[in-house]
Amino acid sequence: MDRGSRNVKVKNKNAAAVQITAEQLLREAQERSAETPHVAPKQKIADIDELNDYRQKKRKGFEDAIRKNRNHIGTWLKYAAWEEQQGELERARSVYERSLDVEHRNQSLWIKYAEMEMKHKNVNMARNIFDRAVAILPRVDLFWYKYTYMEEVIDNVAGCRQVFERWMSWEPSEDAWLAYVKLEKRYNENAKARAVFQRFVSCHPQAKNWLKWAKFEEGIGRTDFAREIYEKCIETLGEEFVDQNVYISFAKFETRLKELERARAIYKYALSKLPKSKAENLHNVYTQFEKQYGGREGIEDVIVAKRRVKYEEEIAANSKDYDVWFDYTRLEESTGDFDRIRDCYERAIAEVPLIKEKRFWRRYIYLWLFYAVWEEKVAKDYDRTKAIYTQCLNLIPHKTFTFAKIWLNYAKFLIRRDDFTGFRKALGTSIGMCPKDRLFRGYIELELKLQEVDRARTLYEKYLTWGPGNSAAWVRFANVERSVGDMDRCRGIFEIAIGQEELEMPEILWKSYIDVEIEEEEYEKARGLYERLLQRSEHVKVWIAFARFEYSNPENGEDPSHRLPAVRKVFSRGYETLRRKGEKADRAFLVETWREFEKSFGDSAGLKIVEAKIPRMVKKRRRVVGDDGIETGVWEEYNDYLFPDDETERPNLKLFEMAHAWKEKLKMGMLDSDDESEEDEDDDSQNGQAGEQAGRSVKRKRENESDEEEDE
Amino acid sequence: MRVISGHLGWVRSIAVDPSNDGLQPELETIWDLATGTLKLSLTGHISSVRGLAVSSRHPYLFSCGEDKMIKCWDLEYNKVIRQYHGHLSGIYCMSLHPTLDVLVTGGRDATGRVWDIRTKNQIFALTGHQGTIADVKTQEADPQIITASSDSTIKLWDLAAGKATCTLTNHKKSVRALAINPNEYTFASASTDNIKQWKCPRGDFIQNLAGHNSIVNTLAINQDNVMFSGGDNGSMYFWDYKTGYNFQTAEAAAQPGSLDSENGVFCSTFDQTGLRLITGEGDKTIKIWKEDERATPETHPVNFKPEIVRPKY
Repeated sequence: MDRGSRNVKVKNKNAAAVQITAEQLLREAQERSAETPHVAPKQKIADIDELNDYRQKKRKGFEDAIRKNRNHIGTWLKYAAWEEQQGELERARSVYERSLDVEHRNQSLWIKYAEMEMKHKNVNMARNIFDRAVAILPRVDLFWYKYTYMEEVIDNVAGCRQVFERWMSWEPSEDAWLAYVKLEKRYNENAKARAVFQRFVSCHPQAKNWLKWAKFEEGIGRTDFAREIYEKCIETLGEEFVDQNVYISFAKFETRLKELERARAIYKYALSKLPKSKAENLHNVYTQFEKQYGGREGIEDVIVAKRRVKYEEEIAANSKDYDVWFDYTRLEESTGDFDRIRDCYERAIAEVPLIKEKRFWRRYIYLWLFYAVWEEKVAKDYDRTKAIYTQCLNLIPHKTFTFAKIWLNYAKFLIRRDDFTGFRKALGTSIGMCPKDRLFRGYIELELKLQEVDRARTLYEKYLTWGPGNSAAWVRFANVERSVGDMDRCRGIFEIAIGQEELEMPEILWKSYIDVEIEEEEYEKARGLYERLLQRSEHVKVWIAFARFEYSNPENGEDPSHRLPAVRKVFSRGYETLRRKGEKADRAFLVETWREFEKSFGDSAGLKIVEAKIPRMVKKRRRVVGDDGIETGVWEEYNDYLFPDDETERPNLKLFEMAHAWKEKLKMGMLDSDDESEEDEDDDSQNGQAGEQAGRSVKRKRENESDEEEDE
Repeated sequence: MRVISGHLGWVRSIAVDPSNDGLQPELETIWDLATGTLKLSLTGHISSVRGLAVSSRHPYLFSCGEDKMIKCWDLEYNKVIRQYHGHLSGIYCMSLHPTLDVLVTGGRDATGRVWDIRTKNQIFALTGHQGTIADVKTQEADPQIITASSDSTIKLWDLAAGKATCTLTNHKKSVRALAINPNEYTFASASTDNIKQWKCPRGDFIQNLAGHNSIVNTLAINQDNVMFSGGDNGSMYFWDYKTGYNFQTAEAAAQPGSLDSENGVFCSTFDQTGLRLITGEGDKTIKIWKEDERATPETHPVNFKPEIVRPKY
């Protein structure tokens, strides 16, 4: 059949004559449903038989439903409610009991059962049910609440209390305890409420519960008890579990009682106990408190505490930030609490830089220094100061670097303590361990201040054997000798110094040597020194200084004008030497100085001679030579000097002159062939100068000169 | 960690042989614990095996399964020598009494049954539970039998009278596992809401071990007071039994080729030394875990911050 129907062919594929759409179907269905549904006719129960019939039918329906699904509590509840509505309490009870047999853990069953009994004022029945319920499900607070409420409603406070007691023996949640307390409060049984609170906090010792108790005591006016409770709370919970709220609440309580000192003490105690992370609110409240009640000092205290916390935070973020440590220690110093200051410093100096490089230590070392200075100046604890210095010196890795500052400060400290052997020992070790310019200098200075010239001498000897190239040291040594009036030694030292192979800044040495001789009015010796100096170095400044010296030299004649020839001699010697050496800039400088000199001290004849020597300045161009010695494409301008003495040696100068003259002529005659400008002599000048270049300095050789001059 | 794979189905039960370190999981395959090789497989059950117990005083292995059968195997002949009839439905757990020749089983028919091993007679039917008995444990001292049921209660039984002495209703969800502490006179029970610890003779509540938020299938405790709880989602929690501090959590390593949904720990036990943890898993493997020797207080910091009050129930 199936197979057959599948193979049936559609005979007529034309559209049906009557078409039915989905909308039509829906509309039709709606129209039909709009018709009034069938309602069972209302039955009037006329007599007891009919009633019994009805009840029986109904009960049968319920029983059938229960038989179908025994575990469906809704059915049971409906059944019981119906029985109750019929006034058949016995039957309703029976239904409830049967349902409880099925599921005794269902809360709504118990509640509905008890409510039914309460509704019908069967108090003992209700009590019975509640007793059973709380025995089976003691952790369901709802039963207890209802039970106690019922007892209270019927004015059985004693019974209610008993129920509460039973409940509390299960150690229920906080709300339950508070409900008990409220009951006692309603009946003004403060002593009993207190007892409940006591048990409450032993069961739930959280801080907030203690606070509730304190608030209660305060509310009934027993502030002494409240204070006791606060104290007890802090004592019982210990530091771990007391949070800021306890302290805040305690302090506020004291504030309310106008016990400002107590409140302040509490705040301070709390701030010292609690870490910053847990005391955010506490800080704010305390600040507010101080603003309201505190004097200037109190507010300052708060601010210091706040800043302290801020620094602590910054340190926690980066413990090696020494700037913060400086600020922090300064803050602590301003408070004047020695223990705190020391503590802070100790913590600061514990932050040793990780890298053993001097630049990382520079700031750090000042912490030690400040610490030591503070100990000495403010705390006046000299043993500690000494300990700090020695500790610091032990810490510094002297092999790689040292800090003369620390050594010298230590030494000065020891001198202040009249410990001269200690001071020498310390500095002696320092020089032995890590010789350093500043160390030597400081040590010698100290010795000189102590008038110990012999010691200073030995020190200088050590100093100069360690660093023979140090001209300044030589000079100082010589000055020391001179100041004690030992000129021979002084000269001897200068001579040795001059004889040193490698000197830094020998000019200082020479200068001071010559100055010494001049001051000693040994002009001949001074001149001799100048001559010796010139043998070594023929720098223009030496020449000028020499000339000046000659002008001020009284041996050349009392009247300054008599000294002129000697001066001119020096100048012209210098000029010749520089000319020979080809130092153009220096030469120009010398001539300029000479001219100035002649202008101010000399005569017109001398001036004329000098002016004849004054060079012309010309601008030149050359290629820039890169670092690698290869010429780059960039050009730079530089100044060159043309001396009148040299002109004979420069053939192309004539050409310039001619060009110059031509230009002048051009201007005069207003000829206008501008295009024939002066740029066309590059090749000539290069060729012309090629020979000359050979004699010039190495630097010049690299220049690629191409002249282009607009001379004045 | 070592993985033994060879089973064709879930590993629902593991027992360690007290005498010679054998290992007997589901379908009664016996593995050599030291080498991880298959020693023997026993066939006879016609449905999956849910409980195993190896006697320390006889050469016997007991097995029970969802086919309502309890079999006693003689390991000298590797044959079934006794069968115990009586359960009305699948048997989910069993426990051998440590000193008496008594076997206790529990299962889907919500009754625990106490069997005399020798005579094959049922001594008691422990009725009272309203749901499947998920785990049963026996010990020498009272309560000699403890059962955990999916009606979220635990019952402590008097073996002499065959009656429940106490019902613990604290759990809110079905209790799936029990573990008796080998050192203390206490035991622990695991449910989805909490793992709870109890003091023994009367079942006084000690503390909650909260945090294992999954269906806890199995518990195991070793001599060092380390408690292990294995979850149905493959989570493995390690607890300090005394403080209830969860010092380590882990995930069961997935067997290559297994699915996410197979990632569950079904049974677990420590071996005789207490140093190796053996777990049987949904991915058809047995895994053997050992202590991490490189663990230091730095790598596994203890962050134990107990609350000021503990829940009282």
